[in-house]
Amino acid sequence: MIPLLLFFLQAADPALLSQQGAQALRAQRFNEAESAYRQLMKVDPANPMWRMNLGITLHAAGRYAEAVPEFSQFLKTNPPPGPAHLLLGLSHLKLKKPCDAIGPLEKAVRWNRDQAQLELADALYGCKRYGPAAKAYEAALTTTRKSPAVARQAAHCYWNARQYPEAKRLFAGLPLDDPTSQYEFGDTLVRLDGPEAGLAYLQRAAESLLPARSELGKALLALDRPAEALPHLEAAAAADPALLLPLSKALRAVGRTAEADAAQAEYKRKLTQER
Amino acid sequence: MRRCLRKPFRRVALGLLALSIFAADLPFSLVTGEGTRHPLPAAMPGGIAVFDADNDGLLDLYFPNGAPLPAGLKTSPAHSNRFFHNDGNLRFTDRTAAAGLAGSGYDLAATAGDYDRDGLTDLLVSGLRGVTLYRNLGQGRFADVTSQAGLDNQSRWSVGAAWLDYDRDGHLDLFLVNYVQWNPATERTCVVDGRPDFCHPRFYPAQPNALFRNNGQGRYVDVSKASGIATHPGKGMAAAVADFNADGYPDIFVSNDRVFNFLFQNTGKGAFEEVAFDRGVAAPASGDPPSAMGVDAADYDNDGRPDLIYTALRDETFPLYRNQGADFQDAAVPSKMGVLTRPMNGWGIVFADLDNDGWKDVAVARGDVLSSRGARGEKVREPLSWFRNLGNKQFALGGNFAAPPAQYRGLIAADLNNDGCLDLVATALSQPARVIAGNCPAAHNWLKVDVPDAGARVDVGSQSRHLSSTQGYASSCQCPLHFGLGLATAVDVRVTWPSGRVREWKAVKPNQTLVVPR
Repeated sequence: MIPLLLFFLQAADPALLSQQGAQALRAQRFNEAESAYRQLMKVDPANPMWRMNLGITLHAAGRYAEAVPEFSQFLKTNPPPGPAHLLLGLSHLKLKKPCDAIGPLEKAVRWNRDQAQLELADALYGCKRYGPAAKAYEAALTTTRKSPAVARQAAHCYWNARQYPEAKRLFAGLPLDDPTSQYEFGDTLVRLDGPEAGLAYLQRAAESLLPARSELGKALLALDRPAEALPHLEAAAAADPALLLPLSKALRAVGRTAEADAAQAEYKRKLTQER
Repeated sequence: MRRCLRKPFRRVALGLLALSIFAADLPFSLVTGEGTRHPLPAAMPGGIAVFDADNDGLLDLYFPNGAPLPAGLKTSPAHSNRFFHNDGNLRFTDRTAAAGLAGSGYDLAATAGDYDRDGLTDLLVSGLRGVTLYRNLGQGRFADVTSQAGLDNQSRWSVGAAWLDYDRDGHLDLFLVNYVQWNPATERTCVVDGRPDFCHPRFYPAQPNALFRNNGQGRYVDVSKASGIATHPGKGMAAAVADFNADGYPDIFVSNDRVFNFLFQNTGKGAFEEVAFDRGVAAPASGDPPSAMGVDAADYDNDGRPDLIYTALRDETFPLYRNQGADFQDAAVPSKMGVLTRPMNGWGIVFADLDNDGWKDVAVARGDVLSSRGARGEKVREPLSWFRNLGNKQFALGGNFAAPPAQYRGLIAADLNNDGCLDLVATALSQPARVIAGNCPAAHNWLKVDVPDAGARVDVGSQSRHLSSTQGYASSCQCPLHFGLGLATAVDVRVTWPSGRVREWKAVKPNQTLVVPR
């Protein structure tokens, strides 16, 4: 009975509890740390740092959904940009809510760009805001976390945002050893400089990527090479009814008139239904 | 009557490629009626009609205008359609009230043509709830004769019209370009990039265009069904009329918004056959129908056949179709227009020889379709641009005109000061309409041919043009046909009327207007 009483008397001391919580957190004894910080919130409710530390504990324990309200509550005290913004953003990202992560991560970038810039870019990308994501990835290239993968992601985002000159600028400095980059760079060149310019990259990507076959087929047709375009358009048309029109043109150009008529009729039927 | 002495707001140093010497604002701004919501019609104003209303030899300007939505009724002078009399030297006077052309509804397009053959150019105004026909009474006055003429577009939303003599009886018939079915009660709110904005056209049902036959006695008969026009519902944005297959009868191309375009081929028997697929103009070669906007038809490669170009939105490119006789070639790639126009949002577009070198260039009114209050903000504004025809079936970017970026819509190229060099007039959403004076090389000659009948074809040397009442987006130019001649000092001219009658002139001297009587 006496030792138990002593424990509670000691535990009620905020300084001691804080020390215990910090030690437990460092040692990854998350339940102990959580308990300490919850007690601190009761005995010293005026100090928002206990809630912040509780959030950190929950985040570190992988309990992101529980960490979010603690960080959010802490941020209502309007602290300057700091780790809570970063961790709240990261919790949202872990919970696959990238759009919710953007606001806190934008503030976290002001606190520590090195740590938060890439995460902000990921959040923007996850939220399908490709233009801002591309700029954020490019900004991350000026931090210590720069890498070819980040540059490639920036280029990918510019391509998604249809900002082709920027995509071209970045792709041009990359090794382009994967089919997706080859496809996106090839497509970028077709759009900026015409079909001839992107042909080589599309041809390499087309060996493994269906979208690349689609663009390659259209590029070859535009270059008046229907026989070469045909197999690519045939392969890709099943997934994209709009390709039935270039396919019908290619078929007609090589003298397969009946098939061309059928493809055109199918194109008309499918796109009329779609729209 | 308010006299508008326009002051040039900007003078630009002339570079090698600079064509415009100055641009000036007119005291007219397009009212969108957008309000706090984003009703679709607010994206669509508006065009221009350029015509000589009083036969004084100077081209006057008419601007249809919007109104507050959803009612679509004009409630203040700011919503008024405006008529500006050309006083010469690029000065204009507002004579809207005296002319009786203020309008009352939400208007978008105006099309000039002498429908009653009295020698005075009349005006058809297209709007959200139908059309209005203004008969030119002379003395600068017009009268609304819509009911007497029997014109009833059944309250459909019309964004353009074309006067044409489809049955070659000598009287101007009327084709109406109808857009989508729009009901303010069921208007939805759409979100683009996280912000409320205009909705995609797929949310609005298509509707057919309309054709009215002129009975020669001032009345029109709806022949939409009998002619086959009504059996093709679409989302029409603009029309181009020309004899595309050289059979002597005018055909009609209609640019449709995100659905297949139409090419109504005149059978010569009072009907039309829709042949866009057969002729290769239903959609670009990629197979994805773009947001087709304004359209123009003219012979850009001087092979004697009218070609087609229309605007679309960013990353769609502006499709250019080269008329090969039996069908059209998608010329976006070989002409370079595909690459050049990919970053652009376009509305009005015209083939016009801006430097009088004998090759028709292309001018375009640019501006995003999205709301300036939406996610893109100021980025919705774009410049007025032009593309130089290199004379080898290719174009190069000519540059931007000396006018600030805006959400431009209507665009017409016309010689407003009779100096033989084409000027431009452009409208913009919530911004002043702009006149941009042309500045052609002095060594280049020109010829204008003033022929009164829509559909007439004029051949000047190796060039050809037909008089079309409709041009670009929601716009019309009942103007003398303009030909740049380069260094040529004499040209042969031939005029072919819709009836088949031909008249020829040999070795015509340049730098004059050849007036061809009816």
